[in-house]
Amino acid sequence: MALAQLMLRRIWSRLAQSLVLLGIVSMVGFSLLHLTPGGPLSQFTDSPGMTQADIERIERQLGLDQPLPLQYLRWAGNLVVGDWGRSYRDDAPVLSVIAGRMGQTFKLMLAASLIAMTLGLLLGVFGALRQHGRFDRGATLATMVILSIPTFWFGLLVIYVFSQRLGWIPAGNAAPVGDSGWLVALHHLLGPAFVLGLVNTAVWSRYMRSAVLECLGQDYVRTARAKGVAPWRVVVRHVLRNAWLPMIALLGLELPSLLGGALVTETVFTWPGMGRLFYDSIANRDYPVILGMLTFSAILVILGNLLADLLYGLADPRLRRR
Amino acid sequence: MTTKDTTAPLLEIRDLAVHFPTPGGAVRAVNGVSYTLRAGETLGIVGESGSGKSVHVLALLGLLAARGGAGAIVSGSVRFEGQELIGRDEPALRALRGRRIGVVFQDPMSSLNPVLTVGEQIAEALTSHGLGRAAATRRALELLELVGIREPQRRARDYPHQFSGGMRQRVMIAIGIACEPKLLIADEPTTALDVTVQAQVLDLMRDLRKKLGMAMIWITHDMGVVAGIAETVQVMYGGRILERGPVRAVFHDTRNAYTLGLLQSLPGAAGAAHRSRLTSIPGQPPDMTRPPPGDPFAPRNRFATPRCFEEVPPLAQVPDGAPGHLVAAWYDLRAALAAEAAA
Repeated sequence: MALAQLMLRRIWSRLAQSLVLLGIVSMVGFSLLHLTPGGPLSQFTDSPGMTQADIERIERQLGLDQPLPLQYLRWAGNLVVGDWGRSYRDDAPVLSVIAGRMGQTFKLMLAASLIAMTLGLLLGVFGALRQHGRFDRGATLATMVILSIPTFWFGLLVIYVFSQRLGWIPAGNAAPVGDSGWLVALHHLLGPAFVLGLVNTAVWSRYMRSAVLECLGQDYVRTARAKGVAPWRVVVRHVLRNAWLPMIALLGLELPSLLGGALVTETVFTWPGMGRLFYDSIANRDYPVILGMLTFSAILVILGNLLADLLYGLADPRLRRR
Repeated sequence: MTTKDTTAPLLEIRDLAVHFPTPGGAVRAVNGVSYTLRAGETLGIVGESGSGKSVHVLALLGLLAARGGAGAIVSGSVRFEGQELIGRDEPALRALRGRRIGVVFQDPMSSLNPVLTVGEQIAEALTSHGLGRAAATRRALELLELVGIREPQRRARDYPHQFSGGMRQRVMIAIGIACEPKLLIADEPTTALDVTVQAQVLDLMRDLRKKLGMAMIWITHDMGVVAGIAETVQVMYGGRILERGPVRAVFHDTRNAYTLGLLQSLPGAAGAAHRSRLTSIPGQPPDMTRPPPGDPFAPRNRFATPRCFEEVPPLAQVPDGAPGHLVAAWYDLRAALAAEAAA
């Protein structure tokens, strides 16, 4: 099939572009990290039992005495073959440290995205259909309030109200040790997913609202009405079919903010995911893990955008051929 | 609607007015338009942008809200097949739109939905009025063939962007005539097309009109197009009708200065009789939030009399003109032209 062939070619060319992008991102990340004050050795220099000779030995051992470009090349070369280095803290391989935390973050992001998309799209659509109506004004105000509140504060507020005061949800953690029931897990997920989801709901609803408004004013909507198409059908088939196209692109664009939001949310809710790991690694100056996390997030975001692009190409007939 | 009276008009418009309230004052887009259309008649409505020619048909179809015109104030009376349309609820109008009154819009690129196949969009006009899905799909293929699109089976599955401008307009026409309406309103359907394609579309429309026996309102700014398709021509300006009559009478016995201006700005044979060289109409269209108190065209009219600036001229039969030739003018254009020629 010509379509499949074309898609394949597009995937390959986009993958090649993504690799270049990833190279640049990792280089910038690597350099920035080494520019930060403290340096990778600070956790050793800070401990009182260390002599100058010890430090120099560790420096050599970790390859930190080499020039920065060489350090980068060695790190990047190892990265490609799957050796992401070892954590300074417990000597565990970075890749397995990240892999151990990935599941919880994905669970949180998925739940938050589901909340954000359903709520956001609904708010956006119904707001736009009755523009400047009571519902629209209420939704606009609510989304503005949520967007203006810092996530950490919002998270603390949710913990205070729903956990401390009302006792509806646990204050943090994924699940108590030893308890693996899915209901318990879901109960623990509620708080952080709600916080992370609501922030993204606000973004989604704003985008969806303006997309629907734009499509409502299009000539083809007038054509549909002139044909005598039923109002609900005009909305579903003509307005929404077109309005959701930019939302696919948003899916890719929102991934970084979702990851960033997860960092704060996970820290507030002591959720054992990648965000927490990132935060803890920075606190501990665990350079290999920080670098690994940076690279991993970059790969995720690039892959997410690639996926969104390909989906967009499938969903919009104007992009299918060419 | 007691008896089938063949002389009863298909469409009868009385004192139709459309005003859009805006912060800067109401835009008086249409100001008391009255005319009738017989079954099978083709009426060409000519005017420049802002003359109210498109707005008044959107108003009678209940389609103004779709163009950000929510809150438009529509008054007057529009009777279609004996039924009043103004003030009708949306379901009643919807039952009429597409089925009894078909519409073909200009710029078929933006008027067709980019993410639906052409076949789906034609079939939708039929399923919206009760035809089953399978039958509608079959009929869509017939319609594509009828409007001159080859390989309808294959083309029905294509999207609008895969068609050329002329072919897209044919698709729009197929949508407009899908339910074999009694009245087809064509809003500048050939404006976005180049001249040869325009001629092909005109041919197609003449052909379809004969086959389906429908009346047509053809809205355009191009007098030449009107000469090619209409029996009756109606010239609009500032939301009013300035001249109306059989095409022959209006073209050769022109009584309104604006009509004359339109004809003189027409290149080619149809305009040649009216001028030695191509001319344009001086001045700007009026600001419709503050329309002039008298004849809307008076400020741009070199034949205007003092009365033209004070009082709106009524649309009345030209005393010594062809039957049905109406003009709204305080001045006598024929006498004024004769005096000019003598001088």
